This record gives sequence, C-alpha cells and structure tokens, in this order.
Amino acid sequence: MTNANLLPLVPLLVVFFFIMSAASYLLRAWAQWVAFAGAIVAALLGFGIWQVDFSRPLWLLPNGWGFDLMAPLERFGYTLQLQRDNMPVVSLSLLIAAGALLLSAGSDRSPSFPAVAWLLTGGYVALALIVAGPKAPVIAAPLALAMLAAVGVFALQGGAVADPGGPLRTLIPPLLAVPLFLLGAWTIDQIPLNPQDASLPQTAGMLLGLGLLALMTPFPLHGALSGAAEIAAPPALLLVSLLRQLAVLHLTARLLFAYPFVYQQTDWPIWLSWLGLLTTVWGGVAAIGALNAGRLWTYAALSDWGLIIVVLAAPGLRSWTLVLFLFTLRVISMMTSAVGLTSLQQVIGSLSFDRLRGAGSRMPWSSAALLLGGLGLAGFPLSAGFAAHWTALLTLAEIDWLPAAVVLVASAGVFLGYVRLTRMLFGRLEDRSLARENSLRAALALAALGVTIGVAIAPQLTSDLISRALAVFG
Amino acid sequence: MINVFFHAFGTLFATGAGVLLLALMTGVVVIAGSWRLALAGVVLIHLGSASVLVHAHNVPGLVAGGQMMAVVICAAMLAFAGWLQPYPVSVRQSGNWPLRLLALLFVVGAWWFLDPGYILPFFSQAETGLLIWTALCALTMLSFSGSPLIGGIAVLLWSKPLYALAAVLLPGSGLAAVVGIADLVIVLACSYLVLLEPAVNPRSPRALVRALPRLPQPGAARPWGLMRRPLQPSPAAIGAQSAAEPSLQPALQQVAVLQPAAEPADFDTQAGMAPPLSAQDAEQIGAAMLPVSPQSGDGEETAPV
Repeated sequence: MTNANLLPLVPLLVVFFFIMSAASYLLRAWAQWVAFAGAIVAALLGFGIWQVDFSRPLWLLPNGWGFDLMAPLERFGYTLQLQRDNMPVVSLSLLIAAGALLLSAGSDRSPSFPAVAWLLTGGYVALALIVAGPKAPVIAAPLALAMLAAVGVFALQGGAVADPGGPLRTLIPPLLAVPLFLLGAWTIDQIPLNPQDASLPQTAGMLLGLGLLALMTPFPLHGALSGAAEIAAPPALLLVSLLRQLAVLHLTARLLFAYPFVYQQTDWPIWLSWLGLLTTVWGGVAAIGALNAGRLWTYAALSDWGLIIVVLAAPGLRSWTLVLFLFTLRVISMMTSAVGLTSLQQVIGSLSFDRLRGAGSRMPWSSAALLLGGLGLAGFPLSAGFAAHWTALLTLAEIDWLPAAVVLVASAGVFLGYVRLTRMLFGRLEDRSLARENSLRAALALAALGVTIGVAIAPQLTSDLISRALAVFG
Repeated sequence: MINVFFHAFGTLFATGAGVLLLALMTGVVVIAGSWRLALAGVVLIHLGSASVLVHAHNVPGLVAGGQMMAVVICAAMLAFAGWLQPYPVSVRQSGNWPLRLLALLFVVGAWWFLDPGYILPFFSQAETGLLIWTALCALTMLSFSGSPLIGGIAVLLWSKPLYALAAVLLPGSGLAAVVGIADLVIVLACSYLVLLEPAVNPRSPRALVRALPRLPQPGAARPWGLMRRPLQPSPAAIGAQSAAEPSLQPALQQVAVLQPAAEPADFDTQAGMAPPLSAQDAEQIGAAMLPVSPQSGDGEETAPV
C-alpha cells in the first residue's frame, strides 16, 4: 500500500456533489427516479460518514485502494478538512438531504429540484468543512450563507411562475449580517494591539452577536419561509430551512467557542431571550389565523425555532444538549409533516384550507402524518416533540416561570391552528372526485408515523446521535 | 494601467463635491421609478466608490477592477431579465416617487436627529456618512418593494459598503473577491425570480411565458387572487365567427348540457367542482375558442375576482 493509492476524501466529496448535481439535472426527465436514487446515495453517504472512526482515518478497499478521510483540501487560502468537530454536521446535512430527496420522489412539481438539492447540500457541507482561511472561517460564513440562500431560491421557486416575495426575502438576513461580521473581524484584529482597551471585546461581541441574531432570522426577520410556503414544494422548504438552521447552529457554536466575549461581555443573551420569545409567540399567533396548511406548518416550525433561540440564550453544555434534542425532534416532526403535505399538494394541487376540506377521508395516512408532525412542532403530548418541549419548559421554569408560560401559550396557538386544520381535513367531503391515496404514499406516511411515534414513546433513541453531536456543539 | 484609470476617476469622486454627487445619485436611484436608470446609477455609484477606494485608501486596482467587473455583470444580468419582462415589470412596485422621496426625507431626518457620531475606522466622516447613506437607501428599496428586480438593484447598492469594508478594513483577506462572487450568485437568483415573476400582461411579446412556452403558465399560480376568464367578444366578432363556423355554437350548447366541466381551473367553487355550464357560458367559451381578430388579442384577459 503506497500513498499513491490513497484517495483524499474531501476533494472527492466536492467533486461528487458537483457530479451528482450535474447528473440529476441532465436526467431531470426522470426526476422522481433520480430523486429516489439520490436519496439512497445521500443516506448511504451520511451513514458512512457518521461511522467514521477518527482513530483509524483510512478506508481500505479490497483492491488495494483506499480513502484518506482526514486529508485536507486547500484552495484560495481556505482549508477544508473532515474533523471530529464537523463530522456530525456533515452527516446530518446529508441525512436531511436524503429525506428531502425521498419526499420529492413522490412529487413531480419541480424536475430540477434534485440537482439544486445536491448543489445546496454540497455548499452546506463545504461550509461545515472549512477549518481555516485567511481570516477566521466564521467571519466569511455569512457571505457563504448569503450565497447558499441564493441557491436555495432556485429550490424554493422551483421553476413556477408565481409570487417571488418569499424566496426573495430569504436573501435578506445573511446580507444584513455580513457588514456586522466584517466590522467585528476588524475589531477583533485590534484586540491584541490594544489589550488594555476593554471596549474592543464589547464592540466586537456586540457586532458579532447582532450578526448572529440576523442569521437566526427571529421575529421580525422570519417572513421568508412562511411567505414561500404557499408556492414552494414542501421538500424544498424542508431542505432549505433545516440546512440553514443547522448551519447557523454550527456557526453559533464555533463563534461562541472562538470568541466567548460575545455572550460574556454583551447583552446578547438578553436579546436572544426576548427575540426568541417574540418569535415563538408570533409563530403561535400566526398559526391560529393561517389559511394554508403550508403556512401553518412554517408558523409551527417558527414557534419551535423561537424556543430553540430562547434555550440558546444561556450557552453551555446543558443548553446545547437541549438545543440538539429540540433540533433532532424538529427534523423528525418537520419531515413527518412534509410527507403529508407533499402527498396532499400532489393530489389536490393546493394546500389552502378550502381545497383540503374532507381530504382526510380520502387520504387518511397522509393527513395523520401532517397533523402528528405539526403537533410535534408544538410539543403536543404523544408526539415526537413532546419530550424536548417538556424538558425545555421545565428548564425555563426553573429560571423564571413567565417565559415558560409564554412558550406554553404560543404552543397552544399552534395547537389551535392544527385543530382548525383537522376540522377541515376531516370535515364533509365536497369534492367526490378526489382520488384516494395510493399504497406508496400510504406506506411512506405510515413509515413517517412509525418513526414519529417511536421517538415519542422512546426519545432515548436519539441519545446516541445527540451525544456524538455534542462533541461539535458542547 | 487599471490603477491610473481608477485614480483618474478618484480625483473627481474623492472630493467633497464628488462624495455629495455619489450621495445624490444614490438618492436618485431610490426615488426614480425606472429600473433602467437605477441600474445605470448603481454602476456609476460603484465606479465612484471603487475610484475613491483606490485613490484615497490605496486599495489595489485589481480589487477595484474585480468589483467593477462583478457589478457590471450583475447589472447586465438584471437588465436582461428586466428586458425579458414587459413593462410594468411588477405589480409589487415600491410606491410612487413622492412616497419614496418622503421615506428618504424621513430617513435623513431620523439620521440627523439620532446621529450617533460613529466614524468607521480608516474612513473619513464624509465617507462614513456616504456608506451609511448607501446602506439605508438599499434597505429602503428592499423594504418598499417585493419586486426581485428592485431587490437585485438594492443588493448591488448594499454591496457597496461591503466592498469598502472588506477592501479597506480587511486587506489581503480576499473577502472583497468573495463579496463579488456572492453578488454574482445573489443577482443570478434575483434575475431568475424576475423571469418567473407573473407578468402583469402575459400577452406581451416579451413575456417569458411567450419566450419560453415550456414553462408553466401564470394562470396556474394566481398569487394575487387573479383568475383568467374568457373575454366577452364584440358583436361584430361573434357575427364573423358565426358566419365562418355556423354549426359550432349549437354544438357547444349541446355539450354544455351534457358535460359539467369544460375548464375546471377557470371556475372557483368551494368544493373544487365546476358547476354545469349555462348556455351563456358555453357561448362565451365558444367565442373564446374561435379565431379572433388582432384587436381582441387571444381571447383572454386577467381580471380581478
């Protein structure tokens, strides 16, 4: 075995994403099969990377060839390398992409979605893999997130001639964060030159903290996804929102680790608490009045995201564990909901409430997946999100009962929104020509329901995933 | 060579009058309703800003040249996308010019009242004021309009302070080049959205649905509650059509009685089922299906419900 037989993994990964994207685009005439095959490939790759043992960083093949898992890729001053610190993020990104591709295999709304999905996933994976650069990688991260938001626009719009307001607004938060990060980087550079100046860390912390807040898209910067919910296919919305939120959580962890003055010497935790509470309340209030199942889904997800922001206000091992717990169950709940939404949108053509009237009697399993996944985002008992929400509420109540009560009221708002949706779905069927769900859709919805209920009954199933991810975030 | 070029412009723009001119141009970009004028203005503003950076802050001409190249390509992309869409491009226009003028006056007043006296490191007070003014104008444009074309122009305006900060505060980091790449990708996305924005008048010869007929028709989306209805033809046209195909109208009336839904997408019923067609409806559809005169277009119009 010589070094010549060792292939570096990271450059291969980069090339692989481009090839998959190009191949998916060229074969878009068979979009559903391409999406299905892509889902299998992404899942295999995600599980494979999850199994990487960093004490033995070589994968040897029977023919004598092998992969050097930790070989870095250096281009334009930036170094990309698979490390223990970013491996769970890479793996989770791939698994999220696998879920979105699997969902899109059941929909023919956007034939080019698999190609964009691969490009987007490759971008987020590359962002997670950057370990060094001319400046600290976290400083350039908002620019990278702005570019990835732009790629996400193609997935959200999906080639439909429709109102572009929602996808357009996804570009705004990262653009707002960029100047704050640039100014923060300059201020950080001045700290070693003036170590006595106590105002420099405060200024840098304030700038970076504000930039992070913009990237977290709390209320009132939240409108992009709910705006896009009426036109975007649920798999696209799922992919764009979850990948971005995972990247922002990873960026937060890296930033707080590198520059602890962001939360030690500023009012950042207070801003986070207030904006998180406002976000969760707004999600709940908006969910009550939603008239579109896609919008309701995004408002429920917004309320859940607000809770994650509130929990982040006190960074530490305990809160990161809770954040990861909430995020993992959020992924499961959103995917379960997306299974139902995708089926309903595919069959009915719209997700507005008046078009969904009585659809539950013809598509019971898809409707159940939609409802149980959505209720999981509100932390409803016997749903996937319950354990994490309950733990978060107890943690908040230990500090102050009022925020916990506010979160509970917001969750009740989301619950009311889903009660309205349930009344619509299982009301009187007026469109007698509505097709029944086929066995494939029913099987997919049943599988999603099985995962959701399994996690709801035994949330400890996620403990291995969370404990390994804590190596990155904790 | 490239340094000489930017230094030559720098002698014009890196003065009090030059900075004032750039600030005025930025204001005009916001107030002017024409996207063509706004795009040209943004390119000029970037030229002025890049010249000031080279002349006053010794930024390498290559960096400024890269900035200009990225901005010109972005402007060209937006212009091409805007050209493909018919005028007016978007129903999501950013109000009329007096409204935008009032908004800018409010911004100026608020800034003058709140003035925190912040000066960016390495920049003069006038330059700091210009950069903040540019950023505020970009935010005003983004806030007032949901049009991707205006949004793309606002992104270009917003990127001006980013180039300045990256090139002057963080030299050698390569972030100015990354800002340029980000500009290109973001404006590409905006151009894509411009092309897919439902046209106000889908019958225009430059509407994308005409240029690229394989794309889904805008009637399917109906984002503002618009729906496509058959146009009531003129009596003369009906007479001409009846003379050309006298047997079609009675046949259609017969079909209307027997078949409930000819074009379900054109009827908005709560249950999603189309009601049986009346004889009058059938007549209208029949008229819309028949060849029409050039004056009456293709027999359809977009009308609010």
